[in-house]
Amino acid sequence: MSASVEVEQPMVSVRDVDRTYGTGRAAVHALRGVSFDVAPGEMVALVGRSGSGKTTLLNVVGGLDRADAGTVRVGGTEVTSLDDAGLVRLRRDTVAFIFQTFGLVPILSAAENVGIPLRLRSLPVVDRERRVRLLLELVGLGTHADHRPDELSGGQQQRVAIARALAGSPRLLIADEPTGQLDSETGQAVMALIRAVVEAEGMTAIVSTHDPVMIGLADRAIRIVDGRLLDA
Amino acid sequence: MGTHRQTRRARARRPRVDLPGMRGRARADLWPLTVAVGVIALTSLLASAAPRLVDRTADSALRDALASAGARTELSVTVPLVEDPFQPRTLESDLATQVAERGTALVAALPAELTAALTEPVATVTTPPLPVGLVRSDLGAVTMTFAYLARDGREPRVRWLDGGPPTAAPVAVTRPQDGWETWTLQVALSSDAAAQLHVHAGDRLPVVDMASMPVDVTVSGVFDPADAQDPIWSQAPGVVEPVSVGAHVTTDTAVTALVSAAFLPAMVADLPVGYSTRSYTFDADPSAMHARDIDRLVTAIAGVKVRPEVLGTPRELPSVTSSLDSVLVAAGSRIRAGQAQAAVLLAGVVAAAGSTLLLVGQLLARRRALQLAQYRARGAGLAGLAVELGVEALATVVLGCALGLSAAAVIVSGPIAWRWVLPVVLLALVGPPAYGVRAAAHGSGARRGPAGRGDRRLAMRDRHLRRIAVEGAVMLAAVGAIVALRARGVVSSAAGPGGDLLIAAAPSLGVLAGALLLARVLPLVLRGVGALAARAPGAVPVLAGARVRAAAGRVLPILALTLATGLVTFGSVIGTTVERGQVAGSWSAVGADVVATVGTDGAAAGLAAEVAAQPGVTTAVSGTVADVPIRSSTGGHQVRLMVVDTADLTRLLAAVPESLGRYGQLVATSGSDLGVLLGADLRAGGDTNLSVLWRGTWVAVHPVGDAPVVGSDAADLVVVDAGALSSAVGVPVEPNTVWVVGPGARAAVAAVPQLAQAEVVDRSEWLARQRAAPLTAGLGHLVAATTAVLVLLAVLMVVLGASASTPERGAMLATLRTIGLGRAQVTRIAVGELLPPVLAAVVGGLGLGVLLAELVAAPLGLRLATGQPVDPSLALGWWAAVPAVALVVVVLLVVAAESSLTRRDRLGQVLRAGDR
Ligand SMILES: Nc1ncnc2c1ncn2[C@@H]1O[C@H](COP(=O)(O)OP(=O)(O)OP(=O)(O)O)[C@@H](O)[C@H]1O
Ligand SMILES: [Mg+2]
Repeated sequence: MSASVEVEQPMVSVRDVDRTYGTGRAAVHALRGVSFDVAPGEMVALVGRSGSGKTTLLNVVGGLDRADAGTVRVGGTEVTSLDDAGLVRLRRDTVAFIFQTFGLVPILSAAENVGIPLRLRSLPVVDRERRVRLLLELVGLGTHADHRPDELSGGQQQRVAIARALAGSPRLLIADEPTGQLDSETGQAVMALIRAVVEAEGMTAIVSTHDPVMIGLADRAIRIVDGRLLDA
Repeated sequence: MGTHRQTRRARARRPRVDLPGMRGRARADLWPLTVAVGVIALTSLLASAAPRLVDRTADSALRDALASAGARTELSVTVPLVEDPFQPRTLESDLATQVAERGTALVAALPAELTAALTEPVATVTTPPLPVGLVRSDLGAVTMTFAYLARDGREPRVRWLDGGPPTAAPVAVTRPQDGWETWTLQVALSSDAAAQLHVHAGDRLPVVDMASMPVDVTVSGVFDPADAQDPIWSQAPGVVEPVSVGAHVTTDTAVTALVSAAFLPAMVADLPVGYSTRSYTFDADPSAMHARDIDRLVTAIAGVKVRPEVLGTPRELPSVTSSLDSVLVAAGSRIRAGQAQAAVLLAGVVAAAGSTLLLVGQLLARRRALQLAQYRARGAGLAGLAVELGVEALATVVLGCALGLSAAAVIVSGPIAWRWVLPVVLLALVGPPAYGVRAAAHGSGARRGPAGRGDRRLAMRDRHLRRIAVEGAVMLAAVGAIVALRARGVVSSAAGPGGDLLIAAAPSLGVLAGALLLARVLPLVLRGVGALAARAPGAVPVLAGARVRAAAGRVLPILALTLATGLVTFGSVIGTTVERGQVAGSWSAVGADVVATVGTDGAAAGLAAEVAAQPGVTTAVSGTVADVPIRSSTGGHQVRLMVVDTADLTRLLAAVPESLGRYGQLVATSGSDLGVLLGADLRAGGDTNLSVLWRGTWVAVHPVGDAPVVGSDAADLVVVDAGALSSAVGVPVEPNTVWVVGPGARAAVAAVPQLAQAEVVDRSEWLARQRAAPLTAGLGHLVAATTAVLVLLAVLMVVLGASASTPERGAMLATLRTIGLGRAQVTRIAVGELLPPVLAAVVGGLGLGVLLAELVAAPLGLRLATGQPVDPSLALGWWAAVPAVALVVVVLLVVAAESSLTRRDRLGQVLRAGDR
């Protein structure tokens, strides 16, 4: 790591993280001694082949999974030592996820999906509705507010997911192959949207992908092979 | 192209069965299949054991009824002796043989089903009571009846205490008074009779005939019956023990002397032609009678009563008297009511079990939706799938039935009641495969329906119309069944074959119809609530509301649960009503906690105060109870007269905790015209010109109100004020009865020495006896068993309904947790999703159960089980709320179980690509 990082507190700091699935002969070492930092406002691409450990790493960083060893800090909070309540707070206030499978609530409309993080903050109804409208317009779905996920295309669904991720004003955005289920044209539009909103909101972002075309949009790429980072 | 299509059609025609696939499916879905087997087993157990137990109960109820009917179970055939009024009297020396032969002929002439159900007849030849010239102030006027008794040609066995059987043959004597030829008569007396008459063996008895001509009677011996319990003795009252006749003013004594076969001809010839009566008395043989034969027996008895000529020759035309047919009819009604009540409960269990099995089918189809769709996508035909699923269903049915029926056989053996088992078997056979095939047919594309908008609307309208048609049919059937039940009642309707099935299903159909309405209304309500929840600021209400709304379209779970809870409520209302009704009935039947009756009039005077002073006595009241003749403008009969002080009556009735019907107020009047309260039957007569015979005086009475429903003869009760009555007849009325109310009533009566000899009726004993009566106890057990099974089924319904949505719910809740919802919040969402429909069904079921009980309680004939003179008022016990609480607990347990099952799942795994 370069010396310049020490001047500023990193947004994400990962040190010597191991994660092993299973035990004994069936054990899979998904992450081995992974260490890296992401500076505030930086957008990092996490690149690796299928099965290299991208999802595992993102889950550990975002507190969806626990590391077997090592530490993860996000915005100065040590994620690896948080209890369940702490992890809930982290997910509610600091980190937002975008999944390859969109992760929308199928029985809620686009607007209602986007409104959930705002409801968790008990925002007054009027403010909530205004912000939901703004966010949906931001992702270009102002006219689809009342559509349910199964009435939207994959790209539209991912836009709703992005709007929802932005709703809680997170400081860190984690996107796991956000374009994995989209055709390349739609995927590029979605990637561009993420890039734009990250910049506009001043967020930090880690985006995994194994599509080399997408990497160009990021500030920097981290490469992972069989659970180890390739030193750049 | 052509060949391609042909091979496809060929494949479709010959369904391919994939055995390993079937086994895999069954293993993956072991628990729902086990539930299906369990439900089938439990239902077939209950459905086959209960009717057998009911049949057994019916037989013992019949035996009970016969035992308590006493002499009313007898059937008597009176066959006149063949005597010629125009010939001088002669000794018919083989008369006893003739009597025996005639008896044998009679048995042969009776319908076979009757002789099978009756005992060997007792033949009697008796004279009218003849005056005995004994002046005995303690016995009053003494009469003597001569009786010859034999069964199967043999006279009853006796033990001689003094003298012995007659030795000589009858000797002809010419009566000096009229020159008639008569014969000496030797008779035997029981020791009791001889002692009362102060006569010994060898004494002559001063008997005269109805023309006051002397009859030459000598006592040959004094005996005791070898077996005093032998029913033969009851055919000649007064033999074993002289009978006191008449009441209150004069008491006379009636004695019967036993005549042997040797002197029977003399007995008959000493009296004018036509004075001796020959009859054959059969008694019901309870051990040979079965409830299922009741109708045939009643018909047979009625037949011989109407056409007695089939039993004899025109010269000796017999007459038949019997109350056995009415005893059997009454018992039959009670038994039929019991059977119908059982059928109603069983129909409920069958309906609830059927819907549980459909829920299992739905759950299986949902769990397998993806797999079935892939199976179909691989090109497999629906026919093959139907066969595979059918085989699986058949296996569950065979296993379930084998378990249930063999368990039933262990409990009680008998025929299998297919009418109850079959519906469950059919639903279990058809339901799951149908749901599975439908899931495969619809689910191959994610949501493939008709492509065009118009087509889709048409298809929707089609479905809508079909649903309306089915619901309309259920409503019509329910209304028809309930109307039929209310119009005819269970007792008469059970007679028609097939009719009783509809009647038995009436409450279930009614609850089902109500549940269908509820299932119609509920989505609207839930949608409204959901819209309200969406307006709330928090996240939990909107999410729970959305889940509830999404599930509201699924009719079956709501329907099934409403049905089950409705039937549980119905059963508990019936159970509680019978329970409470029995208590009310006991107060009605006895009138107090304890009623003590002393033998002689006046002995109870002043005892009420003494009893009332004992601990644990709330109220003690004395009065007089007597059976007296009543006379109206149309005729007269016996009524039960209750003479009591008006203030005492008020006190007594106030102390009784149960309502004894609406009764009027006695006004303590004096003068010759007395105000009285009248029981229902007397009221129904509508006659106001009444008088009762009291101590030899006819006293005019006029009704001033209704009598309280007290005592076993409440319908024929006349209540009159003691003071008013005594001033009307000019003689004080001496009390003979004490009514005691209070927890210590029994002990209080026992503590008063003057009541030591009293005849005591204890209400708690009456209640215990009523509850132990076979039909009542059987109904109680069946209510308990069916309620338990229904509650179990309701629990299964909740679990099955919740499990059908477990995967979706799990996925959604995990998604929500990734965006910051805590465990407590997602738990609340799950509860908020699952609880409202359960609560709606429970509340709806409660209302429907009570409504249905209200509609059908009277025609169900519950009063036959409570022993009340009127229909019991409906009662809802606190335990009707138990299922509701249980189901809420089950919902919470399901949520807790789901939450602990997903606790170990890492959130990160839930949203991995490819998991969907
Ligand atoms: N629950 C699990 N149990 C066992 N092994 C697992 C589990 N989850 C992931 N793995 C293994 O861990 C390794 C890393 O998986 P991961 O999902 O992180 O890879 P990935 O880079 O995200 O792949 P993809 O690009 O296909 O999403 C793989 O070898 C995978 O098989
Ligand atoms: Mg991945």
